[in-house]
Amino acid sequence: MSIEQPDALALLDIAHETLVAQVLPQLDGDARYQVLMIANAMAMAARELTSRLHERAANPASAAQLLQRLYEHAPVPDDEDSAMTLLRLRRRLACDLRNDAVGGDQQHLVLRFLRTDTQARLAVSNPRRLSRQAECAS
Amino acid sequence: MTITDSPVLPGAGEQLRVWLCELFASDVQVSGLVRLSGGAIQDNWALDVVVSNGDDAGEHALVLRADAPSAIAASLSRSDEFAVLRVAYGLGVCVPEPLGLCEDYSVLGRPFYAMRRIAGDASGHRLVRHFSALARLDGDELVSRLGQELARLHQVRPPSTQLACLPTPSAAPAQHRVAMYRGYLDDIAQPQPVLEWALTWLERCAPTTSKLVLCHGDYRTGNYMVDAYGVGLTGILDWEFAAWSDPLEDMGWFCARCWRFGNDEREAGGVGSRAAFYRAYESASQVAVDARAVAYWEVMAAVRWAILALQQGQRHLSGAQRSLELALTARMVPDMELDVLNQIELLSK
Repeated sequence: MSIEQPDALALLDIAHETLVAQVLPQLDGDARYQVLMIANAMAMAARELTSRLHERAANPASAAQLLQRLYEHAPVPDDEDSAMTLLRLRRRLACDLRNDAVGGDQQHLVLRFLRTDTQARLAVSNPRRLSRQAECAS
Repeated sequence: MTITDSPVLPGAGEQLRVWLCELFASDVQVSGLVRLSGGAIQDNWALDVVVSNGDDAGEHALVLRADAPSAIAASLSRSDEFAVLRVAYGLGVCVPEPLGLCEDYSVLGRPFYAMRRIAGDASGHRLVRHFSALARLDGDELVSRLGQELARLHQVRPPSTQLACLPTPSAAPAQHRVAMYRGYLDDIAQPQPVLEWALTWLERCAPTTSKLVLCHGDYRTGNYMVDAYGVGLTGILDWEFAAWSDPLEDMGWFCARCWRFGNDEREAGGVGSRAAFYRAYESASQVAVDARAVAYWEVMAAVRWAILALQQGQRHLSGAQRSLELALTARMVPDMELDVLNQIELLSK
């Protein structure tokens, strides 16, 4: 928990609420479009902050865990933090995929990672799309 | 495109007026100049002029199209785009009439061309609302017209002396695109596993066709103007990505989910049925549309749009053109990735 209260997330939340409820109704045309974009960016930033808080709880089905399972035998440099490890593994996977160097036995896990990772990022950038996709699948 | 408040076009003054006088072979007065919104990559200005004498005497509504402050890879120069527009206009494709090209930097500080301004609205969001599931309007008439226009454009084959500026791909069009997009990904700092996976699939499943035609390269809802009723086509815009390519690339781009503006049920551009679009194209071109190959090009379309979105984000991140719109565009990438995953899964069944 942040020492300062309200914290960053709470500040973003009230700023977004004020913008949408009190400023937006007074606008039209290009100004309205600009403020809608600003509100969208603020909402996205708030969702990203929230998802980072949740990521701290270990989830074996998360994209990060799936990626680490793919390369569980790869050595990890001593001075590397978890964010750097994930970036390094993403880079390695991207390279392996370009070179078609993913073994047949790993294909299923790779596909699971790609879909989980995309869905996790979509939950931040466009959660409505994710809901529609879930509705179509059910 | 809509007219928005804007600063004055830098450099637009007497030198622009002199250039217009040469263009119309007459004295010309500029009566209005405002920036048009809607061009994320190019800079478009609505220009009203009064020509004093000669065959063109009277008022004219024009558009000046110039390079934006920061360019994006793969878009044509204004000179090359002007050449393509002239060919399309000469064929009778529904486009604004191209009037003149200026490559003299002393006029506006960058190359530009003038074309006749056409009436209508190009907003994809507004257009698809006419054709949403709740609306009664049938968009098949509009997509049929767009299918016919595309078939007319695809009559142009290389080589063409008028289009010598367009490079001929060294490989089959799909393989050429895969190599090009991998090159673009190499310039993006963040690794993109889904796009790499998709490009490997696209390489493996590439159609072997070697047929090349003049493709618009950005043929989609949002890049054509319609009349006030939302049904009559008034002009096809934004020719900066024109290229020699597989004709189905244009069809895949037009039908891709990412260009339906949320109206996913209308598979042809969020406006009409895929069947009507294909039927009109087939009838006008006398060429059967391979639906599975179009679906392949829809995967390519999602990959391409994702990479374009990443490049738009780079324009913001690099400081070349700081913009909230560009920043938000970069965050649309997971949408296209989901399209890629869904479409490849469907095609692999």
